[in-house]
Amino acid sequence: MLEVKNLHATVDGKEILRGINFSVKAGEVHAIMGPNGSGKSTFASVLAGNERFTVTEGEVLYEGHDLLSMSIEDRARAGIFLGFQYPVEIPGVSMANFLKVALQEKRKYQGLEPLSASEFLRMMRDRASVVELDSKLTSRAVNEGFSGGEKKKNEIFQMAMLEPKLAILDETDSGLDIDALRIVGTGVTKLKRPDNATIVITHYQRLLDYIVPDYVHVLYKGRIIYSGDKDLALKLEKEGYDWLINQYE
Amino acid sequence: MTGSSTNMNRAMERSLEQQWIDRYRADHDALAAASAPALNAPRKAALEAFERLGIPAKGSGNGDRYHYTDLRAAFAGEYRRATEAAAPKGSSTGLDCPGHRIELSNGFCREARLYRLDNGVMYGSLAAAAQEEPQLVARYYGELTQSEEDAFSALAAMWALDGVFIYVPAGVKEPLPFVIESELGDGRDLLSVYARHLYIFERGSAAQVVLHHRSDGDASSLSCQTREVVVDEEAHAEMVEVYQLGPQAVSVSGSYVRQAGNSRFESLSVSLSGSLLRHNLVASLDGRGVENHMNGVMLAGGTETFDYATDIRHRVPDGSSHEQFKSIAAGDGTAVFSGRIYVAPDAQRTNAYQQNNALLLTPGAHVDTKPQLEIYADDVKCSHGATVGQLDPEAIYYMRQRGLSLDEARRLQMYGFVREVLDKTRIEGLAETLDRLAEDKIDRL
Ligand SMILES: Nc1ncnc2c1ncn2[C@@H]1O[C@H](COP(=O)(O)OP(=O)(O)O)[C@@H](O)[C@H]1O
Ligand SMILES: [Mg+2]
Repeated sequence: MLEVKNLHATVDGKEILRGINFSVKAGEVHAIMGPNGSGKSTFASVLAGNERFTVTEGEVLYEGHDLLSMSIEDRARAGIFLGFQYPVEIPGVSMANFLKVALQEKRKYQGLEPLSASEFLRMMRDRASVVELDSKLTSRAVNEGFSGGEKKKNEIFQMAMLEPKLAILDETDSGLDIDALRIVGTGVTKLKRPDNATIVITHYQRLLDYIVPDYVHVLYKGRIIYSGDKDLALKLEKEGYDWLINQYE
Repeated sequence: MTGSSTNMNRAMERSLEQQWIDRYRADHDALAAASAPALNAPRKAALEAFERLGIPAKGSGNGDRYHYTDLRAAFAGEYRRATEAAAPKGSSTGLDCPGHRIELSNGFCREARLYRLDNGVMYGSLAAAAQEEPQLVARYYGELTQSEEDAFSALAAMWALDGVFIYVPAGVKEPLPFVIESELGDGRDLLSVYARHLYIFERGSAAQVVLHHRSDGDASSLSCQTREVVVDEEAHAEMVEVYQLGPQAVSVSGSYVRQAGNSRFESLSVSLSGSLLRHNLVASLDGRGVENHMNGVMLAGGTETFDYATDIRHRVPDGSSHEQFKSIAAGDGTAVFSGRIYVAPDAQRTNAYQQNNALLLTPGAHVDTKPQLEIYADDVKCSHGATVGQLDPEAIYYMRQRGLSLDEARRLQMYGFVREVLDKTRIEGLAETLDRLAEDKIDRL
């Protein structure tokens, strides 16, 4: 589904990603871990198409297409979803209206008929329950006045609405209490299907109790320096990254 | 247009003010003969005031209230004074808002009469009210307009023959809004239009007023109108005004509100289109415990100029005022907000809030924003803020990541930006209409 080859990227002339090789197949869950500042969010942003970053080398194939030549919105419509580490507030734009436009755009891209108003409302109700999102929040402005936990739940709610093929969740677990973590974790698991894939970026093992990864990668200074299975996350939780970093440097 | 070349030359030799004074002198007898005494009463003093004040030049005049916008150029044309309503058009262009409908054309009520409801409410033509209710009109007319301190207010007083009159007696809570449809221009001449409006909301009454100003694309007009709004003790009134004028329409309007104790007045003014729209919004908070809300939206594109000058006068203790204005300027459009807040020496425990946020979309667009605080009391909470910015790139990225196009993301953000103000109206169904009109304009910015 996703094939990343020797990806280099810079921001303001500073190289952040320094040769990432990474591939994801349908049905898989990948976890990306690593110390702060190692480039995890940058990697996610580059996949999503954030224009702040410049790709200087390498290529990314998504379902056989050159991902890097696609616009941000076409990547999204083609099934790439980024759960933001810091979801953005959009005053005056209601969740319902925002999602309606997003969903119809995606359906148009995929050659599907637009949803009727009642189908859309039913879907909103149904998907809000996946993450136990207060239905009142869906009539409010996007993320405005949402608590930290609500913002993160709202990301997963949007994921449930948009049914991505490849979801990239950037520290969706940070700032969540135990209950919210469980809701988000089980929510993501409920959305798992054999034809979609998930990349979970996290600092902690605890989210991975719910979203069990097939592979765990460690990103450090813009490179994947180690990959393993789910036990690697447990070991990192216990022992930290130093043993890996020492080995690498 | 009118005038031979010799006429033009002669006109050029006189000062701009003198041309208007000469026009008034020529009209004087006809005006006097056509009006009830109440409307004639202030004309002479207004003329003298106009002679003294002149038309303020950009960057000067009236305590720099007219600092940012050149109005003199708009007054330089050869205008023909509108003397009656234009022929009605077949198609309806009104706002979709149920209520007591009043149709104005070039400052004249299409139905020159005063309607009377069973609950004592009266509404309709000011000229008719001045005939039928001379004492009531005379008691309030001209009390608030400042026609001796403001040149444009003076012009309206000099020439007005009609306008809208609304009277809601004490204790009456009128359930239906008054919906005023005001049409400018006739598509033939360069018209000058004058009108004065008087709304009286007596003690403990409640009322809502919706005003829709519009003109066709080919109609040229210069409109000078003033409105006096008397809000008595404990009365609650809301007023929403929408300007949807054509590219050849200039409007200078003044709204003068006086609030007595524990009253509440909310206004929302939306400038959607027009060549040059200048609004003077003045509220005098004369009683204790008064609440005033003044909100506005400007969507200026092309070469449009929208200019709001607000003036909130806290004269006694315990009043609160809340101003929120949002503007978007695109193309070579200009959006101006200057907000004066005056707090009298003994107006303690005043709470005054003022906010102006502007989006500047293009290099040719222009935004001016200026708070003017004159605070003479010491126990006052006053906060004001102004921002001039661009669309938020983070929000646009976020929306595009969900599949919205760049254009849709920009538009949605702009819709949201003004919706926060538009949705403040409590008039049934009106917020949706305003949102739709604003969205139409944003799509064309
Ligand atoms: N917009 C930006 N401008 C400048 N530097 C940035 C920007 N975004 C990230 N960086 C830098 O890139 C490095 C990687 O950041 P990031 O991808 O956010 O790391 P992580 O998500 O792994 O904590 C850091 O050194 C950070 O300071
Ligand atoms: Mg990060």
